Amino acid sequence: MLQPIIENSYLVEVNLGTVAAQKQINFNFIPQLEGSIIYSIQTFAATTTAISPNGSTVISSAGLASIFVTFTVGDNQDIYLIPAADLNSPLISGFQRMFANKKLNLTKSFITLNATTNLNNNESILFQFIYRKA
Amino acid sequence: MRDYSIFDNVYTATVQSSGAFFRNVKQFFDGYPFLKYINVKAITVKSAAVPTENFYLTIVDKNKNQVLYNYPLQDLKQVSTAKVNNLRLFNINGIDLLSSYYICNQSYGVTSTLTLFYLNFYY
Repeated sequence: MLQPIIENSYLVEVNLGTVAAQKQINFNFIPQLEGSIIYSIQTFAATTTAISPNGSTVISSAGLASIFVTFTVGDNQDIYLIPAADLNSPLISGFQRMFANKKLNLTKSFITLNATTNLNNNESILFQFIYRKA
Repeated sequence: MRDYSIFDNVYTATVQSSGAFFRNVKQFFDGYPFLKYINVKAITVKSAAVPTENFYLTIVDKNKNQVLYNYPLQDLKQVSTAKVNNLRLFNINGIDLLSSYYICNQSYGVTSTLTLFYLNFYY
């Protein structure tokens, strides 16, 4: 069965601010995820959650196509420019993408806005990190 | 990998509100004695009066660890319209619902008892 058994889950919001093509936005430091072993990552769009816990409008499902994500382990960009749409469960038949136990360096990980198509200023994209404690 | 999709028990927790609740204010669960410190293998949700898209779930275990933080409730719903068809499997050892809570990203002026959603715990 290609889906994770969820031990811990943490939702992270990345606000786009003013959208612009080729803009990069780094993740914030998340103490709970520091040193944790991440084995699945999921993105959420407005089809699942219209408004983020912080009250921002969540990007549309179509907007995911304009966003790519780079995840860094240490100083290595282990997952380079993965399409955010490929991490969105409703777009991949309800699955959650699984990864081989990564200790992500979130402050060196970032999203890239490849274009501004279907994105609006100050919208947020939500990431769900599924992890276990190291 | 153990087959987590074989369950011995299912318990449905009916989550109700008897008063107004406000955006982003933590709403704690009732105790649900049947569910005290059980090991949860899966959770699903069934919506009731309020859209499940508006809720986020934080689950705490008996050691007071936040095992799930702001988990979008809609992700637990098995409906074809949302294309979320897979049962979400968990390994939560000793759930403590009294310390767990949900938040809603909208405010509702509830004037009488309102069933918000049903949470099905498989264990």
